[in-house]
Amino acid sequence: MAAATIWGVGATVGAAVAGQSLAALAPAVEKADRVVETETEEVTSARLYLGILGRNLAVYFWLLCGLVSGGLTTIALLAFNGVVLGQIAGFAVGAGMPVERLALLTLPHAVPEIAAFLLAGAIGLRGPALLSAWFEGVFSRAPLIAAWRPAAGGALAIAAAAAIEVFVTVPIAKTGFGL
Amino acid sequence: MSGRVANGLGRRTARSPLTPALVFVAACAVFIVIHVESLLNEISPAALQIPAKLSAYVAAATVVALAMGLVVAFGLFCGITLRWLAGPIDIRAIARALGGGLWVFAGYAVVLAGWTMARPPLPLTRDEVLSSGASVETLMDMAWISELQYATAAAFFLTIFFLLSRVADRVNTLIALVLATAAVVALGTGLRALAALLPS
Repeated sequence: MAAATIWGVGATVGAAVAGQSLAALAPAVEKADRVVETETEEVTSARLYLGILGRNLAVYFWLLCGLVSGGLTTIALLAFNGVVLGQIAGFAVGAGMPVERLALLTLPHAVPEIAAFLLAGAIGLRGPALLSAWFEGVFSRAPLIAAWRPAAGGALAIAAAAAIEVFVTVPIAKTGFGL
Repeated sequence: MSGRVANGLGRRTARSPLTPALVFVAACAVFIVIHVESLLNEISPAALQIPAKLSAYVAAATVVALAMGLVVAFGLFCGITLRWLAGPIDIRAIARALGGGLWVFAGYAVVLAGWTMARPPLPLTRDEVLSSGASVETLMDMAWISELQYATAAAFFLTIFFLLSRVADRVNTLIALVLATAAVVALGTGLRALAALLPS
């Protein structure tokens, strides 16, 4: 719940700020679309899959690192991720992309991906309690052991989300919208 | 009586590991605000400034929080290694040692903040922002920053070694510091390598 709140506040702020700058930002977004189009043409699906998987796993593990960093890395990454995604959505809508198209291009992979990030966030936010218990003289590995199953499940969800992004979203973008 | 209480409070505040952390964060905040406001203040159209500044502030705050998180993780790894080597150890002793080391980082951040206040960077054009090739060194004429970072890291380790070796065996302290450093470096390098897999 706390992880979803931090992420949600970040996304709302990002989308609101992007929404306020719509008219001025539309040309920049169009330029970015063209750049992505020319760059992704030369990349094979397998390489793109590995790249997306690597980047998302890096974010995922940083979120989990909250367990050993007193929750600091988790809070920072959740807020950052929320703001960035909120801004991207705000820019896309502001540049004239219909909401249905944006949903079709993001939701298939974003649902498992963001769910996994929030799961990792929830695990990482146990860090402060773990640290506080250690300060009170209780050194237990039980919370770390209890976290590995959901953490492994989340990593599998990240792998599935990257596969959906490369093998479902990209074909939709190319064939459905000519991007 | 109240003077004695105030003195005691002052001593406890100075000894608390949170104090250098707060000084570090405050100095970083000064550094970041001056940078963002100076560099991104003349972007046109003006409507671009708000999202550009928001992204810059959030990214910079994330980097500072990640750095603090890595310091906490470093302390925990040290504590776990010392516990593994020599049995139970008071985590408050590790926190105090970490606080001492953090004063070094706080000093580094204060130097950067002072330098930025004395020589604020020139505003960037929109094309320079989009090119994203600029680094702190080139923007601020701070070629000496990498030497300062090495010196800061060395002083950080020496301070922690000195403070921890007062409560634990020297060899165990050295092993704990080496293993904790290796763990934090492996963590940072591994995650950076994962993120770099995405083709550009």
